[in-house]
Amino acid sequence: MTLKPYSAGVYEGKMRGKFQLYTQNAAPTVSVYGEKMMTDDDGVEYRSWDPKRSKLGALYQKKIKIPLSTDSRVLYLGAASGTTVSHVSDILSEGAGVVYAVEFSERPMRHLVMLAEKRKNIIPIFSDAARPELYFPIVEPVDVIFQDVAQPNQAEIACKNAAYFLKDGGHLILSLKARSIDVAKNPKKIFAEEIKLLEKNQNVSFNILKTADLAPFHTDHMGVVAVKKEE
Amino acid sequence: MPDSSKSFLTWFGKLSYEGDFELSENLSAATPLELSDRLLLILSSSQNLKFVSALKPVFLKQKPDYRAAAKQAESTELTESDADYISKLRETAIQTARRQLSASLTEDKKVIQAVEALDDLNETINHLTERLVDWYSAYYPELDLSNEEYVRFVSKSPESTSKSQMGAPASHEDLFLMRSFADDVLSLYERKKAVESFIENKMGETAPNLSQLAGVVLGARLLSMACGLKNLAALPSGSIQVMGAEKAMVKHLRSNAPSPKHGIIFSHPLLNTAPFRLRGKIARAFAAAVSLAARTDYYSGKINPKIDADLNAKINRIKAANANREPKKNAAEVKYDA
Repeated sequence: MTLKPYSAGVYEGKMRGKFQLYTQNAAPTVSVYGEKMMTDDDGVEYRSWDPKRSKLGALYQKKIKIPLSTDSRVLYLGAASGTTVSHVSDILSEGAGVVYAVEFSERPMRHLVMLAEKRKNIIPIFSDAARPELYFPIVEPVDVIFQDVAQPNQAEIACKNAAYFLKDGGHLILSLKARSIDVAKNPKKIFAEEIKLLEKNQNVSFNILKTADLAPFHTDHMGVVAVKKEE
Repeated sequence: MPDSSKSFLTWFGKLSYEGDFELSENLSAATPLELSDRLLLILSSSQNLKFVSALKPVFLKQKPDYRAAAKQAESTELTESDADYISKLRETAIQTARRQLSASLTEDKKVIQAVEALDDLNETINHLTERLVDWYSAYYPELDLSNEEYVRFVSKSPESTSKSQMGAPASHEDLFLMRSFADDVLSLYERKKAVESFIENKMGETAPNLSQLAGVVLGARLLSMACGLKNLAALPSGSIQVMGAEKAMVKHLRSNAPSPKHGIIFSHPLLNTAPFRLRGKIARAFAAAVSLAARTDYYSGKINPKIDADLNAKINRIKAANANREPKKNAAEVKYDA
């Protein structure tokens, strides 16, 4: 079986007759979170990408154009145990990309460190994504910021990090979780307010390229792809 | 001499800004361990944070090229390629994260693990004891003992329960199985005691005021729900008051359901023995005292008897002020209480 290219570093194929995304395994034979693996006719190993386990995977599956190339420098906020980070690392290892993975919680961080040990392009940072000043001396300017932090001030955290790290014309990919911003309000209202915060921030402002509801993979989540306005 | 307020420490050396970013201080060649020392310092230093924050207006327009600067730095021993930069930084970052993680298990985290283990033990013990009672009662229905004593009895159960007329005769095989089952449950009771005394000791050391005020187990539960003493100390007392009543709180925020008066703190005798009409008021006073106690524990660690005394005085005042209130029967008004 061979896979078709889907996006930079991402491939599409079939699993049990259904559409399935894959990335080329950068750490052969190692499965990160129990995902299924397959080897194509040329003997290259791929890992299936479960959209239900990963917001970025869901965005890809929803056919949203993701501004991620194999050479991108990525700042990943809210890396957790590295489920999605592992796929980002797969994509980047086809080029010379690197991902700076920030996580603040101990238990997932242990997994993340073990993941980084197996992959050459993950730089793990145990720090608070809300305080970019702290890890500024470690993270270089980046092309893409991906954020999945599930905090009430998500948009603010994204803007703060973008101010420090995002190159002009760089992209922000955001997974907004309505339930962690306000449990009571209507998700649509929350999303509209958060988008407004991104468009009118005092330091950095974004043009929203695309928004997408992540249902049925994740409920009350919205994916946002935005580009930083040039000065 | 570059302006020191316009420089900051990076993982490979000091960078200064004067129209452009330049390596201003070439820190001596460093081993991987020294590099990770530097990273640790950066991630925890409030001074460097100030320097970085001060330069924020510059970063908005101009970003430093770390890869180019790092090549000039002696401490990184970098050669030409970008791959070198990544591999060196990655190595340093991994080592730093490992050290941070190994230092992250603080005393309050140990208490949290223990109190969660205690909850699991309780659940398991009840479950298994219930099974054993159900099982053994077929052989000796008249046996009437409390849970732990029941288990203890079964583990040493006699060969024949001849006194029992209703009970089925037990074969040696039946008894052997039930005895060993009871032994296992009994060892869980022992484990539970050990965990409880661990919590008691640790709470006395890490949160003396909190354990004095709320009791060790409730205190530990509060720590567990807030994810640590630091977080508990930072919480407003209103949040502490309804901690553990999240479902009711969300319902209240979403619809016009009444707000919860108390969450986990209800397990404290001060609250669950208080008159119904006063529980909300007492819960508020109690939560305020818990918050004070947590802050005292986190920031000073010394016992402050005033917290307890003030709370008692406050509760007496509440009780005195409401002594003459008629108990209201109108349910519609009850929900506005507290």
